[in-house]
Amino acid sequence: MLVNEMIKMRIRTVVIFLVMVAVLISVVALRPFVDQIFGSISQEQIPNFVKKLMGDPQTLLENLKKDDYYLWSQWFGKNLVQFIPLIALVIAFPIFAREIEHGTIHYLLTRSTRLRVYWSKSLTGLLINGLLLLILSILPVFITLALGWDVNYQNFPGYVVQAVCGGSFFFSLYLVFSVVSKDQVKPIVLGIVVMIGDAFLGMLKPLRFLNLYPYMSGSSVYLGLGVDWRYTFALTVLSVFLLLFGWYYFQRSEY
Amino acid sequence: MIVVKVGDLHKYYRNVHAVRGGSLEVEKGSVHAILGPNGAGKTTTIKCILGLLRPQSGEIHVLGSSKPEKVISKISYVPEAKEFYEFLSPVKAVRFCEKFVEHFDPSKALQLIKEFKLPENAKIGTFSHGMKTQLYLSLALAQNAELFIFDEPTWGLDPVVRNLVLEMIRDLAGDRTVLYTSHILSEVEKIADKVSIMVQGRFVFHGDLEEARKNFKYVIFDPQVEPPKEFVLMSFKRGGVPVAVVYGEENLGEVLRLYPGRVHVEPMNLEDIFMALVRGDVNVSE
Repeated sequence: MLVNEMIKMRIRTVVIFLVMVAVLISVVALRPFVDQIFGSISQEQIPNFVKKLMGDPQTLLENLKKDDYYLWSQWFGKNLVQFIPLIALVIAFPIFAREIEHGTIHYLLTRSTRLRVYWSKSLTGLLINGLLLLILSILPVFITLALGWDVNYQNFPGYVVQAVCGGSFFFSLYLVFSVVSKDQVKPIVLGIVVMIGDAFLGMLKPLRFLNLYPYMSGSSVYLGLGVDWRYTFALTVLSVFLLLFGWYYFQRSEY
Repeated sequence: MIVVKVGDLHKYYRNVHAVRGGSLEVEKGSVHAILGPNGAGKTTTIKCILGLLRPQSGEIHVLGSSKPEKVISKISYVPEAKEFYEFLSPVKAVRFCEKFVEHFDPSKALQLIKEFKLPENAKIGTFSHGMKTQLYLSLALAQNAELFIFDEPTWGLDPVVRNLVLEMIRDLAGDRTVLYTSHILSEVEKIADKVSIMVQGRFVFHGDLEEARKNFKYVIFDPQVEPPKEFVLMSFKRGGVPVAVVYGEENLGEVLRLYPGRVHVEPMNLEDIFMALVRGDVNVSE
Protein backbone atom coordinates (compact mmCIF):
# COMPACT_ATOMS: atom_id res chain seq x y z
CA MET A 1 0.00 0.00 0.00
CA LEU A 2 2.85 2.37 0.90
CA VAL A 3 4.58 1.56 -2.39
CA ASN A 4 1.34 2.18 -4.32
CA GLU A 5 0.94 5.55 -2.65
CA MET A 6 4.52 6.46 -3.48
CA ILE A 7 3.84 5.54 -7.13
CA LYS A 8 0.88 7.93 -7.14
CA MET A 9 3.00 10.73 -5.65
CA ARG A 10 6.18 10.16 -7.61
CA ILE A 11 5.66 12.76 -10.36
CA ARG A 12 4.67 15.51 -7.92
CA THR A 13 7.60 14.66 -5.67
CA VAL A 14 10.15 14.64 -8.49
CA VAL A 15 8.84 17.94 -9.94
CA ILE A 16 8.92 19.65 -6.52
CA PHE A 17 12.43 18.37 -5.89
CA LEU A 18 13.76 19.55 -9.27
CA VAL A 19 12.13 22.99 -8.91
CA MET A 20 13.59 23.42 -5.44
CA VAL A 21 17.06 22.29 -6.52
CA ALA A 22 16.89 24.84 -9.35
CA VAL A 23 15.95 27.54 -6.83
CA LEU A 24 18.81 26.51 -4.53
CA ILE A 25 21.30 26.54 -7.40
CA SER A 26 20.14 30.02 -8.42
CA VAL A 27 20.53 31.23 -4.82
CA VAL A 28 24.08 29.88 -4.70
CA ALA A 29 24.87 31.17 -8.18
CA LEU A 30 23.76 34.71 -7.29
CA ARG A 31 26.13 34.87 -4.31
CA PRO A 32 29.02 36.62 -6.18
CA PHE A 33 26.66 39.29 -7.51
CA VAL A 34 25.24 40.42 -4.15
CA ASP A 35 27.98 43.01 -3.68
CA GLN A 36 27.38 44.40 -7.15
CA ILE A 37 23.60 44.50 -6.76
CA PHE A 38 23.54 46.14 -3.33
CA GLY A 39 26.74 48.14 -3.79
CA SER A 40 25.40 49.94 -6.83
CA ILE A 41 22.42 51.25 -4.88
CA SER A 42 23.03 54.42 -2.90
CA GLN A 43 21.32 54.99 0.48
CA GLU A 44 19.27 57.85 -0.99
CA GLN A 45 17.84 55.65 -3.73
CA ILE A 46 16.24 53.28 -1.22
CA PRO A 47 12.71 54.34 -0.21
CA ASN A 48 12.04 54.73 3.50
CA PHE A 49 9.52 51.90 3.72
CA VAL A 50 12.11 49.51 2.26
CA LYS A 51 14.62 50.68 4.84
CA LYS A 52 12.06 50.02 7.55
CA LEU A 53 11.40 46.58 6.20
CA MET A 54 15.02 45.56 5.64
CA GLY A 55 16.75 47.46 8.41
CA ASP A 56 19.87 49.42 7.77
CA PRO A 57 20.93 48.63 4.15
CA GLN A 58 24.60 49.05 5.02
CA THR A 59 24.37 46.51 7.82
CA LEU A 60 22.42 44.19 5.56
CA LEU A 61 25.06 44.46 2.87
CA GLU A 62 27.80 43.75 5.40
CA ASN A 63 25.87 40.72 6.68
CA LEU A 64 25.23 39.42 3.16
CA LYS A 65 28.94 39.37 2.58
CA LYS A 66 29.09 36.61 5.21
CA ASP A 67 28.44 33.17 3.69
CA ASP A 68 26.54 31.95 6.73
CA TYR A 69 24.14 34.90 6.79
CA TYR A 70 23.68 34.82 3.03
CA LEU A 71 22.80 31.13 3.03
CA TRP A 72 20.40 31.38 5.97
CA SER A 73 18.64 34.55 4.83
CA GLN A 74 18.42 33.73 1.11
CA TRP A 75 17.71 30.01 1.29
CA PHE A 76 16.07 29.20 4.63
CA GLY A 77 14.71 32.67 5.38
CA LYS A 78 13.53 33.66 1.92
CA ASN A 79 13.06 30.75 -0.49
CA LEU A 80 12.61 27.44 1.32
CA VAL A 81 10.34 28.92 3.99
CA GLN A 82 7.94 30.25 1.37
CA PHE A 83 7.84 26.92 -0.39
CA ILE A 84 7.21 24.83 2.75
CA PRO A 85 3.40 25.41 2.85
CA LEU A 86 3.25 25.13 -0.94
CA ILE A 87 5.09 21.80 -0.98
CA ALA A 88 2.76 20.52 1.77
CA LEU A 89 -0.26 21.64 -0.25
CA VAL A 90 0.90 20.00 -3.47
CA ILE A 91 1.62 16.74 -1.65
CA ALA A 92 -1.52 16.70 0.57
CA PHE A 93 -4.45 18.08 -1.42
CA PRO A 94 -4.96 15.17 -3.85
CA ILE A 95 -4.36 12.37 -1.34
CA PHE A 96 -8.07 11.84 -0.63
CA ALA A 97 -9.82 14.53 -2.69
CA ARG A 98 -8.61 13.07 -6.01
CA GLU A 99 -9.67 9.53 -5.05
CA ILE A 100 -13.10 10.83 -4.03
CA GLU A 101 -13.51 13.03 -7.10
CA HIS A 102 -12.42 10.28 -9.53
CA GLY A 103 -14.37 7.53 -7.75
CA THR A 104 -11.27 5.37 -7.19
CA ILE A 105 -11.96 5.56 -3.44
CA HIS A 106 -14.55 2.81 -4.04
CA TYR A 107 -11.84 0.48 -5.24
CA LEU A 108 -9.70 1.14 -2.18
CA LEU A 109 -12.46 0.93 0.42
CA THR A 110 -13.86 -2.31 -0.95
CA ARG A 111 -10.47 -4.00 -0.97
CA SER A 112 -9.05 -2.85 2.32
CA THR A 113 -10.07 -1.47 5.70
CA ARG A 114 -10.55 2.24 6.23
CA LEU A 115 -7.84 2.10 8.91
CA ARG A 116 -5.29 0.78 6.45
CA VAL A 117 -6.36 3.11 3.63
CA TYR A 118 -6.30 6.27 5.76
CA TRP A 119 -3.09 5.73 7.65
CA SER A 120 -1.07 4.34 4.78
CA LYS A 121 -2.06 7.25 2.54
CA SER A 122 -1.58 9.88 5.24
CA LEU A 123 1.70 8.56 6.58
CA THR A 124 3.14 8.09 3.08
CA GLY A 125 2.34 11.75 2.33
CA LEU A 126 3.74 12.87 5.67
CA LEU A 127 6.89 10.84 5.07
CA ILE A 128 7.44 12.20 1.55
CA ASN A 129 6.78 15.77 2.70
CA GLY A 130 9.19 15.33 5.60
CA LEU A 131 11.87 13.68 3.46
CA LEU A 132 11.67 16.44 0.85
CA LEU A 133 12.14 19.10 3.53
CA LEU A 134 14.92 17.13 5.16
CA ILE A 135 16.79 16.80 1.86
CA LEU A 136 16.17 20.43 0.90
CA SER A 137 17.44 21.58 4.30
CA ILE A 138 20.56 19.42 4.15
CA LEU A 139 21.40 19.83 0.47
CA PRO A 140 23.08 23.26 1.02
CA VAL A 141 25.57 21.55 3.35
CA PHE A 142 27.07 19.56 0.48
CA ILE A 143 26.97 22.45 -1.97
CA THR A 144 28.60 24.95 0.40
CA LEU A 145 31.21 22.39 1.48
CA ALA A 146 32.08 21.84 -2.17
CA LEU A 147 32.31 25.59 -2.74
CA GLY A 148 34.30 26.16 0.43
CA TRP A 149 31.84 28.59 2.03
CA ASP A 150 32.25 29.58 5.65
CA VAL A 151 28.99 28.25 7.11
CA ASN A 152 28.05 27.31 10.67
CA TYR A 153 27.04 23.70 10.06
CA GLN A 154 26.06 23.18 13.69
CA ASN A 155 22.86 25.12 12.97
CA PHE A 156 21.63 22.68 10.35
CA PRO A 157 19.99 20.12 12.69
CA GLY A 158 17.96 23.00 14.12
CA TYR A 159 16.97 24.25 10.67
CA VAL A 160 15.89 20.71 9.74
CA VAL A 161 13.79 20.26 12.90
CA GLN A 162 11.93 23.55 12.43
CA ALA A 163 11.41 23.17 8.67
CA VAL A 164 10.18 19.57 8.95
CA CYS A 165 7.97 20.32 11.95
CA GLY A 166 6.39 23.39 10.31
CA GLY A 167 5.94 21.49 7.05
CA SER A 168 4.31 18.58 8.87
CA PHE A 169 1.83 20.95 10.50
CA PHE A 170 0.85 22.44 7.14
CA PHE A 171 0.66 18.95 5.62
CA SER A 172 -1.68 17.73 8.39
CA LEU A 173 -3.93 20.75 7.98
CA TYR A 174 -4.13 20.35 4.20
CA LEU A 175 -4.75 16.62 4.61
CA VAL A 176 -7.87 17.43 6.63
CA PHE A 177 -9.01 19.71 3.78
CA SER A 178 -8.43 16.81 1.39
CA VAL A 179 -10.44 14.38 3.54
CA VAL A 180 -13.45 16.65 3.94
CA SER A 181 -13.62 17.72 0.27
CA LYS A 182 -15.47 15.85 -2.44
CA ASP A 183 -13.42 17.54 -5.16
CA GLN A 184 -9.87 18.82 -5.62
CA VAL A 185 -10.64 22.52 -5.98
CA LYS A 186 -11.76 23.17 -2.40
CA PRO A 187 -8.59 21.94 -0.67
CA ILE A 188 -6.44 24.02 -3.04
CA VAL A 189 -8.49 27.18 -2.43
CA LEU A 190 -8.56 26.60 1.34
CA GLY A 191 -4.82 25.93 1.32
CA ILE A 192 -4.07 29.19 -0.46
CA VAL A 193 -6.36 31.07 1.94
CA VAL A 194 -4.45 29.55 4.89
CA MET A 195 -1.08 30.53 3.40
CA ILE A 196 -2.14 34.12 2.82
CA GLY A 197 -4.08 34.30 6.10
CA ASP A 198 -1.14 33.01 8.10
CA ALA A 199 1.17 35.72 6.78
CA PHE A 200 -1.53 38.38 7.12
CA LEU A 201 -2.55 37.50 10.70
CA GLY A 202 1.11 37.45 11.66
CA MET A 203 1.35 41.14 10.81
CA LEU A 204 -1.06 41.94 13.64
CA LYS A 205 0.89 42.30 16.86
CA PRO A 206 -1.36 40.24 19.18
CA LEU A 207 -1.52 37.44 16.62
CA ARG A 208 2.15 37.46 15.72
CA PHE A 209 2.57 33.96 17.16
CA LEU A 210 0.34 32.64 14.34
CA ASN A 211 2.94 33.56 11.76
CA LEU A 212 4.83 30.33 11.25
CA TYR A 213 7.33 31.72 8.76
CA PRO A 214 9.95 33.00 11.25
CA TYR A 215 9.81 29.64 13.03
CA MET A 216 10.10 27.59 9.82
CA SER A 217 13.01 29.72 8.59
CA GLY A 218 14.96 28.75 11.72
CA SER A 219 15.55 32.34 12.82
CA SER A 220 15.95 31.38 16.50
CA VAL A 221 18.54 28.80 15.47
CA TYR A 222 20.48 31.31 13.39
CA LEU A 223 20.39 33.89 16.18
CA GLY A 224 21.99 31.34 18.51
CA LEU A 225 18.87 30.74 20.61
CA GLY A 226 18.61 27.12 19.48
CA VAL A 227 15.51 25.21 18.45
CA ASP A 228 12.28 26.80 19.64
CA TRP A 229 11.11 23.68 21.48
CA ARG A 230 7.90 25.23 22.80
CA TYR A 231 6.75 26.06 19.32
CA THR A 232 7.98 22.69 18.03
CA PHE A 233 6.01 20.85 20.72
CA ALA A 234 2.85 22.90 20.07
CA LEU A 235 3.03 22.26 16.30
CA THR A 236 3.67 18.55 16.82
CA VAL A 237 0.63 18.26 19.11
CA LEU A 238 -1.50 20.18 16.59
CA SER A 239 -0.28 18.00 13.72
CA VAL A 240 -1.16 14.82 15.62
CA PHE A 241 -4.55 16.28 16.52
CA LEU A 242 -5.23 17.16 12.85
CA LEU A 243 -4.23 13.70 11.64
CA LEU A 244 -6.53 12.12 14.23
CA PHE A 245 -9.36 14.47 13.28
CA GLY A 246 -8.88 13.47 9.63
CA TRP A 247 -9.10 9.82 10.67
CA TYR A 248 -12.25 10.49 12.72
CA TYR A 249 -13.87 12.20 9.73
CA PHE A 250 -12.72 9.57 7.21
CA GLN A 251 -14.07 6.75 9.36
CA ARG A 252 -17.53 8.31 9.39
CA SER A 253 -17.67 9.47 5.80
CA GLU A 254 -19.92 8.00 3.14
CA TYR A 255 -18.73 7.34 -0.39
CA MET B 1 -26.58 -20.99 3.67
CA ILE B 2 -27.23 -17.24 3.54
CA VAL B 3 -24.24 -15.13 2.48
CA VAL B 4 -25.90 -11.70 2.51
CA LYS B 5 -28.78 -10.85 4.77
CA VAL B 6 -30.34 -7.40 4.81
CA GLY B 7 -33.23 -6.68 7.12
CA ASP B 8 -35.50 -3.64 7.27
CA LEU B 9 -32.90 -1.33 5.77
CA HIS B 10 -33.60 2.39 5.74
CA LYS B 11 -31.36 4.93 4.08
CA TYR B 12 -32.01 8.63 3.69
CA TYR B 13 -30.10 11.19 1.65
CA ARG B 14 -31.13 14.27 3.59
CA ASN B 15 -34.90 14.29 2.98
CA VAL B 16 -34.92 11.61 0.31
CA HIS B 17 -35.90 8.18 1.61
CA ALA B 18 -33.80 6.12 -0.81
CA VAL B 19 -34.27 2.66 0.72
CA ARG B 20 -37.53 2.05 2.58
CA GLY B 21 -37.27 -1.01 4.72
CA GLY B 22 -35.56 -3.23 2.19
CA SER B 23 -34.95 -6.87 3.10
CA LEU B 24 -32.89 -9.29 1.08
CA GLU B 25 -31.33 -12.74 1.44
CA VAL B 26 -28.68 -14.04 -0.92
CA GLU B 27 -27.94 -17.76 -0.89
CA LYS B 28 -24.46 -19.18 -1.16
CA GLY B 29 -23.46 -20.24 -4.65
CA SER B 30 -26.29 -18.41 -6.38
CA VAL B 31 -26.41 -15.57 -8.88
CA HIS B 32 -28.85 -13.14 -7.31
CA ALA B 33 -29.96 -10.18 -9.41
CA ILE B 34 -31.45 -6.99 -8.06
CA LEU B 35 -33.59 -5.50 -10.78
CA GLY B 36 -35.07 -2.07 -10.74
CA PRO B 37 -35.53 1.11 -12.71
CA ASN B 38 -33.10 4.02 -12.30
CA GLY B 39 -33.29 5.52 -8.81
CA ALA B 40 -34.93 2.43 -7.32
CA GLY B 41 -32.27 2.15 -4.59
CA LYS B 42 -30.20 -0.76 -5.97
CA THR B 43 -26.82 0.96 -5.75
CA THR B 44 -27.64 2.45 -2.35
CA THR B 45 -28.51 -1.01 -1.02
CA ILE B 46 -25.25 -2.43 -2.36
CA LYS B 47 -23.21 0.43 -0.93
CA CYS B 48 -24.83 -0.17 2.47
CA ILE B 49 -23.93 -3.87 2.21
CA LEU B 50 -20.32 -2.91 1.48
CA GLY B 51 -20.14 -0.32 4.26
CA LEU B 52 -19.59 2.58 1.86
CA LEU B 53 -22.84 4.12 3.07
CA ARG B 54 -24.23 4.03 6.57
CA PRO B 55 -27.92 3.21 6.80
CA GLN B 56 -30.07 5.00 9.36
CA SER B 57 -31.51 1.69 10.52
CA GLY B 58 -31.66 -1.97 9.62
CA GLU B 59 -29.42 -4.98 9.90
CA ILE B 60 -26.78 -6.17 7.48
CA HIS B 61 -24.89 -9.47 7.68
CA VAL B 62 -22.28 -10.26 5.06
CA LEU B 63 -20.41 -13.57 5.08
CA GLY B 64 -21.38 -14.05 8.70
CA SER B 65 -20.31 -10.63 9.93
CA SER B 66 -22.39 -7.60 10.84
CA LYS B 67 -19.39 -5.40 10.00
CA PRO B 68 -18.73 -5.56 6.25
CA GLU B 69 -15.22 -4.16 6.74
CA LYS B 70 -14.20 -7.31 8.62
CA VAL B 71 -14.87 -9.49 5.58
CA ILE B 72 -13.96 -6.97 2.89
CA SER B 73 -11.03 -9.07 1.66
CA LYS B 74 -13.49 -11.85 0.77
CA ILE B 75 -15.55 -9.53 -1.44
CA SER B 76 -14.87 -8.34 -4.97
CA TYR B 77 -16.90 -5.32 -6.07
CA VAL B 78 -17.42 -3.70 -9.44
CA PRO B 79 -19.11 -0.32 -8.98
CA GLU B 80 -21.44 1.46 -11.34
CA ALA B 81 -18.68 3.91 -12.37
CA LYS B 82 -15.76 1.73 -13.34
CA GLU B 83 -13.04 4.29 -12.60
CA PHE B 84 -9.47 3.16 -12.13
CA TYR B 85 -6.20 5.10 -11.95
CA GLU B 86 -5.92 6.75 -15.34
CA PHE B 87 -2.15 7.18 -15.20
CA LEU B 88 -1.64 3.41 -15.05
CA SER B 89 -1.63 0.94 -17.92
CA PRO B 90 -3.47 -2.39 -17.54
CA VAL B 91 -0.20 -4.18 -16.76
CA LYS B 92 0.71 -1.59 -14.11
CA ALA B 93 -2.83 -1.78 -12.74
CA VAL B 94 -2.35 -5.51 -12.23
CA ARG B 95 0.92 -4.83 -10.37
CA PHE B 96 -0.87 -2.20 -8.29
CA CYS B 97 -3.61 -4.68 -7.33
CA GLU B 98 -1.07 -7.40 -6.59
CA LYS B 99 0.45 -5.20 -3.89
CA PHE B 100 -2.84 -3.95 -2.52
CA VAL B 101 -5.49 -6.68 -2.83
CA GLU B 102 -5.50 -9.89 -0.81
CA HIS B 103 -6.12 -13.16 -2.70
CA PHE B 104 -5.41 -11.51 -6.06
CA ASP B 105 -4.25 -13.66 -8.98
CA PRO B 106 -2.16 -11.46 -11.34
CA SER B 107 -1.79 -14.14 -14.00
CA LYS B 108 -5.57 -14.51 -14.18
CA ALA B 109 -5.98 -10.73 -14.48
CA LEU B 110 -3.45 -10.60 -17.33
CA GLN B 111 -5.15 -13.53 -19.04
CA LEU B 112 -8.52 -11.73 -18.86
CA ILE B 113 -6.97 -8.52 -20.17
CA LYS B 114 -5.69 -10.52 -23.15
CA GLU B 115 -9.07 -12.20 -23.58
CA PHE B 116 -10.73 -8.78 -23.71
CA LYS B 117 -8.05 -7.69 -26.22
CA LEU B 118 -7.16 -4.60 -24.21
CA PRO B 119 -3.93 -2.76 -25.06
CA GLU B 120 -1.66 -3.86 -22.23
CA ASN B 121 0.60 -0.84 -22.07
CA ALA B 122 -1.66 2.06 -23.02
CA LYS B 123 -2.76 4.48 -20.30
CA ILE B 124 -6.20 3.74 -18.86
CA GLY B 125 -7.02 7.44 -19.29
CA THR B 126 -7.15 6.89 -23.05
CA PHE B 127 -9.68 4.04 -22.78
CA SER B 128 -13.34 4.20 -23.78
CA HIS B 129 -16.03 3.51 -21.17
CA GLY B 130 -16.38 -0.06 -22.44
CA MET B 131 -12.64 -0.71 -22.23
CA LYS B 132 -12.51 0.68 -18.68
CA THR B 133 -15.35 -1.65 -17.74
CA GLN B 134 -13.51 -4.63 -19.22
CA LEU B 135 -10.35 -3.72 -17.32
CA TYR B 136 -12.24 -3.29 -14.05
CA LEU B 137 -13.91 -6.66 -14.59
CA SER B 138 -10.53 -8.28 -15.31
CA LEU B 139 -9.17 -6.96 -12.02
CA ALA B 140 -12.29 -7.86 -10.06
CA LEU B 141 -12.62 -11.37 -11.50
CA ALA B 142 -8.96 -12.07 -10.70
CA GLN B 143 -9.75 -11.81 -7.00
CA ASN B 144 -10.25 -15.10 -5.26
CA ALA B 145 -13.30 -13.75 -3.45
CA GLU B 146 -16.23 -15.55 -1.87
CA LEU B 147 -18.75 -12.91 -2.82
CA PHE B 148 -18.78 -10.92 -6.06
CA ILE B 149 -20.90 -7.81 -6.23
CA PHE B 150 -21.48 -6.27 -9.65
CA ASP B 151 -23.31 -3.00 -10.12
CA GLU B 152 -24.49 -2.75 -13.73
CA PRO B 153 -21.43 -4.69 -14.98
CA THR B 154 -22.35 -4.79 -18.65
CA TRP B 155 -23.37 -1.18 -19.15
CA GLY B 156 -21.63 0.25 -22.21
CA LEU B 157 -20.35 -3.11 -23.52
CA ASP B 158 -20.94 -4.33 -27.04
CA PRO B 159 -23.14 -7.47 -27.40
CA VAL B 160 -20.22 -9.85 -27.97
CA VAL B 161 -18.29 -8.70 -24.90
CA ARG B 162 -21.51 -8.51 -22.89
CA ASN B 163 -22.21 -12.19 -23.54
CA LEU B 164 -18.62 -13.07 -22.66
CA VAL B 165 -18.92 -11.18 -19.36
CA LEU B 166 -22.26 -12.82 -18.58
CA GLU B 167 -20.69 -16.22 -19.16
CA MET B 168 -17.83 -15.33 -16.81
CA ILE B 169 -20.28 -14.22 -14.15
CA ARG B 170 -22.36 -17.36 -14.62
CA ASP B 171 -19.23 -19.49 -14.26
CA LEU B 172 -18.54 -17.97 -10.85
CA ALA B 173 -21.72 -19.43 -9.36
CA GLY B 174 -21.44 -22.68 -7.50
CA ASP B 175 -18.31 -22.05 -5.44
CA ARG B 176 -18.86 -18.31 -5.15
CA THR B 177 -21.87 -16.11 -4.73
CA VAL B 178 -22.82 -13.30 -7.06
CA LEU B 179 -24.97 -10.30 -6.24
CA TYR B 180 -25.72 -8.38 -9.35
CA THR B 181 -27.72 -5.29 -10.26
CA SER B 182 -29.09 -4.50 -13.67
CA HIS B 183 -31.97 -2.99 -15.48
CA ILE B 184 -31.33 -5.09 -18.57
CA LEU B 185 -33.88 -7.83 -18.13
CA SER B 186 -32.78 -10.12 -20.93
CA GLU B 187 -29.34 -10.60 -19.39
CA VAL B 188 -30.76 -11.21 -15.93
CA GLU B 189 -32.91 -13.95 -17.42
CA LYS B 190 -29.79 -15.54 -18.87
CA ILE B 191 -27.75 -15.80 -15.71
CA ALA B 192 -29.74 -15.19 -12.51
CA ASP B 193 -30.98 -17.93 -10.23
CA LYS B 194 -32.89 -15.54 -8.02
CA VAL B 195 -34.32 -12.12 -8.63
CA SER B 196 -35.29 -9.29 -6.33
CA ILE B 197 -37.17 -6.43 -7.89
CA MET B 198 -36.81 -3.00 -6.35
CA VAL B 199 -39.10 -0.06 -6.99
CA GLN B 200 -38.90 3.32 -5.27
CA GLY B 201 -36.70 2.05 -2.44
CA ARG B 202 -38.75 -1.08 -1.76
CA PHE B 203 -38.30 -4.71 -2.72
CA VAL B 204 -41.54 -5.69 -4.40
CA PHE B 205 -40.59 -9.22 -5.39
CA HIS B 206 -38.15 -11.91 -4.31
CA GLY B 207 -37.94 -15.31 -5.87
CA ASP B 208 -36.38 -17.50 -8.48
CA LEU B 209 -37.06 -16.99 -12.14
CA GLU B 210 -38.94 -20.22 -12.61
CA GLU B 211 -41.13 -19.39 -9.65
CA ALA B 212 -41.77 -15.92 -11.06
CA ARG B 213 -42.67 -17.27 -14.50
CA LYS B 214 -44.89 -19.92 -12.89
CA ASN B 215 -46.72 -17.51 -10.60
CA PHE B 216 -47.16 -14.42 -12.75
CA LYS B 217 -49.69 -14.80 -15.53
CA TYR B 218 -51.53 -12.58 -17.93
CA VAL B 219 -55.26 -13.18 -17.92
CA ILE B 220 -57.05 -11.87 -21.01
CA PHE B 221 -60.76 -11.25 -20.43
CA ASP B 222 -63.68 -10.98 -22.80
CA PRO B 223 -64.17 -7.30 -23.72
CA GLN B 224 -67.36 -7.02 -21.59
CA VAL B 225 -65.77 -8.41 -18.43
CA GLU B 226 -64.35 -6.23 -15.66
CA PRO B 227 -61.29 -7.93 -14.05
CA PRO B 228 -61.97 -8.71 -10.39
CA LYS B 229 -59.77 -6.37 -8.34
CA GLU B 230 -59.46 -8.68 -5.33
CA PHE B 231 -57.64 -11.37 -7.34
CA VAL B 232 -55.48 -9.34 -9.72
CA LEU B 233 -52.36 -7.24 -9.14
CA MET B 234 -53.11 -4.78 -11.87
CA SER B 235 -55.20 -4.48 -14.98
CA PHE B 236 -55.06 -2.49 -18.18
CA LYS B 237 -56.52 -2.54 -21.69
CA ARG B 238 -54.64 -3.86 -24.69
CA GLY B 239 -56.41 -2.88 -27.91
CA GLY B 240 -59.69 -2.48 -26.05
CA VAL B 241 -59.38 -5.89 -24.41
CA PRO B 242 -59.06 -6.03 -20.60
CA VAL B 243 -55.84 -7.69 -19.44
CA ALA B 244 -54.93 -8.45 -15.83
CA VAL B 245 -51.74 -9.59 -14.11
CA VAL B 246 -52.45 -12.35 -11.65
CA TYR B 247 -50.01 -13.67 -9.04
CA GLY B 248 -50.21 -17.19 -7.68
CA GLU B 249 -52.15 -20.34 -8.53
CA GLU B 250 -54.81 -19.60 -5.95
CA ASN B 251 -55.75 -16.23 -7.44
CA LEU B 252 -55.62 -17.64 -10.95
CA GLY B 253 -57.95 -20.46 -9.90
CA GLU B 254 -60.42 -17.94 -8.48
CA VAL B 255 -60.43 -15.90 -11.69
CA LEU B 256 -60.92 -19.00 -13.83
CA ARG B 257 -63.72 -20.17 -11.53
CA LEU B 258 -65.49 -16.77 -11.73
CA TYR B 259 -65.30 -16.46 -15.51
CA PRO B 260 -65.26 -19.95 -16.99
CA GLY B 261 -64.71 -19.87 -20.74
CA ARG B 262 -64.51 -16.05 -20.79
CA VAL B 263 -60.81 -15.70 -20.07
CA HIS B 264 -57.62 -17.17 -21.36
CA VAL B 265 -54.23 -17.30 -19.70
CA GLU B 266 -50.89 -16.27 -21.21
CA PRO B 267 -47.40 -16.72 -19.77
CA MET B 268 -45.31 -13.69 -18.76
CA ASN B 269 -41.60 -13.29 -19.34
CA LEU B 270 -39.36 -11.44 -16.90
CA GLU B 271 -39.74 -8.17 -18.75
CA ASP B 272 -43.54 -8.40 -18.52
CA ILE B 273 -43.30 -9.18 -14.80
CA PHE B 274 -40.83 -6.34 -14.22
CA MET B 275 -42.99 -3.84 -16.10
CA ALA B 276 -46.09 -4.97 -14.21
CA LEU B 277 -44.39 -4.57 -10.85
CA VAL B 278 -42.79 -1.25 -11.69
CA ARG B 279 -45.89 0.28 -13.23
CA GLY B 280 -48.28 -1.21 -10.71
CA ASP B 281 -46.04 -0.55 -7.68
CA VAL B 282 -47.35 -3.74 -6.08
CA ASN B 283 -45.64 -5.88 -3.50
CA VAL B 284 -45.94 -9.64 -3.75
CA SER B 285 -43.10 -10.52 -1.42
CA GLU B 286 -44.91 -9.74 1.81
